Amino acid sequence: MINAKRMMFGLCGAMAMLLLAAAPAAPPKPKAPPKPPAKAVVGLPAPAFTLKDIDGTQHALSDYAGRIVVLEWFNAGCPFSGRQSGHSIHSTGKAKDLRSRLRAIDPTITYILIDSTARRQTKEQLVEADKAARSKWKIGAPILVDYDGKVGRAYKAETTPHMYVIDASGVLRYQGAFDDDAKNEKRAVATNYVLDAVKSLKAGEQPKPSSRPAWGCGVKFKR
Amino acid sequence: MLTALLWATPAAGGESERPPRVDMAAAATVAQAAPGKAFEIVVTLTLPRGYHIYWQDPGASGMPTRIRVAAPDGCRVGPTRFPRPVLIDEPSGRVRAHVGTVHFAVAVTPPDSWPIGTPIPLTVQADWLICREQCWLGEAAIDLTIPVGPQRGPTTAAMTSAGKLPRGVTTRLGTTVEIDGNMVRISGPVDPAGTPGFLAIYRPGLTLTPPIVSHDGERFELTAAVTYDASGADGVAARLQGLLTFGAAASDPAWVVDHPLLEDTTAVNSPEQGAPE
Repeated sequence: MINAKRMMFGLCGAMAMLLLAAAPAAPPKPKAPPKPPAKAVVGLPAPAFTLKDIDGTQHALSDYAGRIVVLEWFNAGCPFSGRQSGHSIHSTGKAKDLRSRLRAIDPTITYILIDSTARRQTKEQLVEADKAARSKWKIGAPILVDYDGKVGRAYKAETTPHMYVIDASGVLRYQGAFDDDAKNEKRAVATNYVLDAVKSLKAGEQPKPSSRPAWGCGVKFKR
Repeated sequence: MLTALLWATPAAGGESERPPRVDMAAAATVAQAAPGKAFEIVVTLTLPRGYHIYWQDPGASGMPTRIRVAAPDGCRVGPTRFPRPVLIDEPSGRVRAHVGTVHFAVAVTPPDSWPIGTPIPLTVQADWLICREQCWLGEAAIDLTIPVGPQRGPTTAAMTSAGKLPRGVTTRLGTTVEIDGNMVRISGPVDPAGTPGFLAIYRPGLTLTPPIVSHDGERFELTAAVTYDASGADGVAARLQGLLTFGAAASDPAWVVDHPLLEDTTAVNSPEQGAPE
């Protein structure tokens, strides 16, 4: 009985193999790119997004494929970000200096600001405040509007500024603090983590550190 | 006690929220200082309702409140002792903050050679980030003159320091902190205030798992796994730092933990935390 069963299995297996061999070869399926995770994780593809900037132009992260992308979470009313103060990365010129140093390393680097501030202001007021800040601090980079906070939450943006460095293949390589000088006291000797991360990527190395606690105002997401 | 009324740095136009007023006061814990003997300066910041400033490790966002004391040459100035923070869940993450009337303390030790009868001039400076729906930077300074003489009696500030600020865990009876390999174990008698917990202070290169707490009604044990990556430590010594807490309220008991993780790190209770024992 057992031998008869074994024989049947053997016959069926052989017939299946013959059928497979006779079938026309299917074209190889293109390998799907890894799907970005819903939440930002260093070492994994950065979450995709499409947002309009304060002038109404649409930007998708995928538009910048093949380039290093630096994201900066922004709030025109935060004294570490867009408001005038001795600690603001914009009013002190730290952000502008970073952008020019990044361009010197790689002119194709894309620097993008994202504003998720939704408390105590309408979307229109956000746009107005960001336009004023852009003009005041001569911000030569697009400011994207994330009023519903979906992108900010996907990136787990905690502060303004909260920085992200995405490599040319779309993988998040650094997230966290702008530098080690929140109070703007070290100045020339401060370590800028974003600059260091980009330098590492250009040298073909992984940034170290890949993460540092971000400092600044909490992102004022809609409650 | 000297006080100052300070407003946070005015903002650029367009904000709907006005910068909040913060009251600052500072006082010594002794009526008169003595050469070679430490005393403390207690700094009090009083915040408007609804606003918060930040603990030494602010959590998801914010900036640590900073207290600085400028003293004459020869005087030693210790680190700032912070009160236990409250935990506030913001949409962008959990922050560790202070609300209401907040006390800090800084130890000052005049040199042995300081002449009796010559007062010690001090300048106490504070800076903070204060937030509600918006955030504001603020700063203030107060000049103090501390008499030097035989009257060592404690002041009201001394009672504030003793009653409101966490002390070193080594002063808590029957409590031990042990590091065994990559396991941290804190154990001791339970406290009626409630469940024990640990509020870790961020150190570069150091990762601590959420602690597991067990207790039998008399004693508790809090264990956590710790990993240390020296290459990511920015040269900062490997230390376990934080607060052992009981209960949930900021007014519940808390004890300062500051323990080296490696044998070659500096001694227990380094001046970085420096709660007087």
